Amino acid sequence: MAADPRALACGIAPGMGVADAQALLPDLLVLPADPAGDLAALHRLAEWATRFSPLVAPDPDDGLMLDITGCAHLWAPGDSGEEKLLADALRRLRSHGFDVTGAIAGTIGGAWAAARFSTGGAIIPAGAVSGALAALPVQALRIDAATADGLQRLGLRKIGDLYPMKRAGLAQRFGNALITRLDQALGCAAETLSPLLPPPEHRIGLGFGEPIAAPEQVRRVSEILVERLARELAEHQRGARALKLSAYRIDGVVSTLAIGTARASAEPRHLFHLIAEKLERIDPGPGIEFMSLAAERTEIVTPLQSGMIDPGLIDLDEAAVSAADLAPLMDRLANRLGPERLARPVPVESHVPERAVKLAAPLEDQKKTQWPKLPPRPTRLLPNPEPIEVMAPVPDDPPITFRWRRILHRVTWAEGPERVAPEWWRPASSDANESQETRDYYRVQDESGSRYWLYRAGLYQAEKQPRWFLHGVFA
Amino acid sequence: MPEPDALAANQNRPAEALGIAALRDQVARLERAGTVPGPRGKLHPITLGAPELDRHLPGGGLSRGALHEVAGAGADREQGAAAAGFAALWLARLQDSGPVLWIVRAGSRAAIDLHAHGLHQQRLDPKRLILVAAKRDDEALWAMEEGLKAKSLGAVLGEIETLDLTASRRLQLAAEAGGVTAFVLRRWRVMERATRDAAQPIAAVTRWRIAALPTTQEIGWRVELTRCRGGKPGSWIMERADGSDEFHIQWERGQPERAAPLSGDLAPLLGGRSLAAGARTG
Repeated sequence: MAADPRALACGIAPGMGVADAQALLPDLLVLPADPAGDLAALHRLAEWATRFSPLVAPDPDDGLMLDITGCAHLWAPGDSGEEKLLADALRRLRSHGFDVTGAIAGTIGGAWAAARFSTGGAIIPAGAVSGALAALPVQALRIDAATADGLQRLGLRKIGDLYPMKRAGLAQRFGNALITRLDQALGCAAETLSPLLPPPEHRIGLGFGEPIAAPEQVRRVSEILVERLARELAEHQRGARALKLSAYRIDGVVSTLAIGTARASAEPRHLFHLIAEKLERIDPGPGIEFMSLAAERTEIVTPLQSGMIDPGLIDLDEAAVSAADLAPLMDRLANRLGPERLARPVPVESHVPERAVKLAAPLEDQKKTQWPKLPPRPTRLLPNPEPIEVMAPVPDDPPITFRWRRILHRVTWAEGPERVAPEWWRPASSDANESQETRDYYRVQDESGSRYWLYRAGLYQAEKQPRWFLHGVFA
Repeated sequence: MPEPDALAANQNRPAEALGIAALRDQVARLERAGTVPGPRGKLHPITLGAPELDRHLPGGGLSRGALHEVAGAGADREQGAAAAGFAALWLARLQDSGPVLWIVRAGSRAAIDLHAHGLHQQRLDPKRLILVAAKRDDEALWAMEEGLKAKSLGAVLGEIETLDLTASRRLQLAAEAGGVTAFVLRRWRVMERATRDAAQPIAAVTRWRIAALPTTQEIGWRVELTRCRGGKPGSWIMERADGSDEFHIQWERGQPERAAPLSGDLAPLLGGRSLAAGARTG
C-alpha cells in the first residue's frame, strides 16, 4: 500500500494493510494498484524528459535517469547550468503534480542515492561522490532489504561505514551485488544507462519564454530548427534519412511527428517542405514550451556536383544531373500517400504471372535488371484472378463463351495454351491453393475485339468440372 | 487548307509557307499549345514512329510539356487496357528524357493492376517506370502536379476518373511550366458516368479514344483523335504484328491530309483487315 502526503499525515504508512488503514481512517479512499499503468506513465514521463537530454532511462518503480553530459550549458553557462537544469526539471515536474526530488552526480548510483536520501536538490560535484555519500544510509546503495537489514545488524548504518571494511569479507557475507553497487556509486565500476529511446545522432532544441500555440509560430520554429539541423548535418557531411520533430507542451504531453526521406538529405528547403506538409499533426494543446528536431537516422552524403552522375539513382545519363529532384519528389509522395504506395517494378524469374513482377523501393538501383522476353502479356493483370463461367465444347479446348463480371463474352479467336506449371518448391500454404495447380493460359478475343487472358486451373480430369479464371486484359 | 507540316511545306513553297509558319507560330503561342519554349529550350514534339499518324499532328508529333488525354472505348473505359497500351507507346518515346511516373488507381501497392511485362511489350522500359498507387482522383491529381514539377521526369501519367476543366487546366499549366509531358488515362467505374464525363470539355491539347478491334495481330485498335489543338480530329485503324516495331495504319475517317496521302502500304493493311473481319464472322 502506498499513500499520499495527506494520508501520511493521518498516520497511514506505506506497506500498511488495507484493513489496518481503514480501521485508522474509515473514510480512506483506497484505489487498487496499477503497476502496468504506473510503468506506462513513467515511460511517458521519460519521453517528456527528453527535453532535458536525449538520454533518458526510466528507472522503475518511481525514478527517471537522465544523462545530462553536455546538456547543462543550455540552461546557463558555466557551473550554474546544472543547478538551473535541476531546478527547472523539478519545478516543471512539481507543476504537473509530481512529488519529486532530484540530484546530479557523476555516477548513476551517486545520483540515485542523493536524490532519494539527501535533503534538498543535491548536486554532487565531480570527485566528491564518496564524501557526499558517506553520510547516507546503506539503503541508498540500491541493495535489497535483506542486505540492508544485515548490514544494519552489524552496525553498518551509513555508506561511510562500509569504506574501511574489507571488501572480501563484505562480499563473502553479503554477496557480490553489494560490492558492485558500492563500486558503481563511487565510480569504481562502470555503469551505463539504457535509454528509453536510442539517442539521435543530431538534435536541435529550442525553448520559449512564453508557450506558443499558433500554427504560424510552430511553423516558424520548425523552420529555424530545420535550418540549424541542416547546417549541423552539412558540417558533418551527413544527410537525414529520418527526422523527428517533438513539441513539449506545458501540460506535459509530447506531440511528435516523424518523416523519412528516400535519400539522405541535408537540404533545408526539402526537409522543411516534408515537415511542413505534416505540421498539422503537431497538436499545440494549451501551448508548447519547447521544441526539438532530431535526425534519428543519418547517412554520409557527398554533395552532388553538376555533371557528376549519381550511380545509385537511375541509369539515366543525361538526366542524372537533374535526377537529384527525383528523391525529393519520392519523399513528397511517400510523405503524403505513404511509402508503401510507391514502387518500381522489378522482374522475378517466376512462371506464375502474378509473381513475375516484384515491387521494389522507388529509387532502388536497377542498372543490372534485365526484363526478359515473354510470350504476349496483358497490360492489366488482375491482382487476384477472377473465376468465370465458361462454355467449352471440349474440356481441353478454349471456351466459346465466358461470363465475367456478369457480362457474357463470345470468343471469336483464341490462342494457346501456354502451360504454367506450379512452383512445387513453394510451401502449399504460401498463397491461395490456385498457385499449386497447373494453369493453361489462353489469349482470347471477344466479338468487340477486347482480348482477355484466361486460364484453366488444374489438369484435365474426366470426373471434375474444370475451373476457369480471368487473369488479365490485353492492350 | 495549309499543310500540317510547316517544315515540309517550307521546302516546297518557301514564301507562302513562311507566312503560314509565322501565323502558325503566333497561333501556337496564343494557344500556348505546349510549343512555348520551356526550361529545356525549344521542345520537339514526340513522334510515335508511325508517319501516317505523326504527320497528322500539328508540328509533326505530340507536344511535349502539355496535357494529353487517352481513354478507352467500350469495355476498355473501365478496364483501361488498350488505353494503357496506347499511352505506353507514347511514354516509351519519352523515356529518353527521364523516368515515367505512372499513377495507378489502386488502394494499395498490392492492388496495382498494371502489368510491367505487358507494358514492356508495348516498348515501355519498366526500368524507367515509377508506380504510385492513388486511391482517389484528388490523390492522383495531386501526385500528377507534384510529378510535373520534377523536371527530370520524362512524363507523368495519371489514371483519373473525373476530370473537370479547372483540374485539367491546372495540369496543363503545370506541364507547361515544367516542360514535363502529362497524360491522363481516363478510367471509369460506372459506365453511365463514363458516357457523361467523356463528353465534358477539358484543357488537354489532344484527346484520344482507343477501341479494341478484332485482329489477329498483337495489337489492333481504332484510334480516334477527338480533339487536337491547332489540328484536326481524325480516326485510324492501327495494327502491329507480334514482335514487330512497324505499325500498319489506315486512315479511317475525317478529311485525309494532302501531305499525308495513303501510301502503297495500304494493300497488306487491307489484307490484315479482311483477315480480322474473317475472324470476326468465323
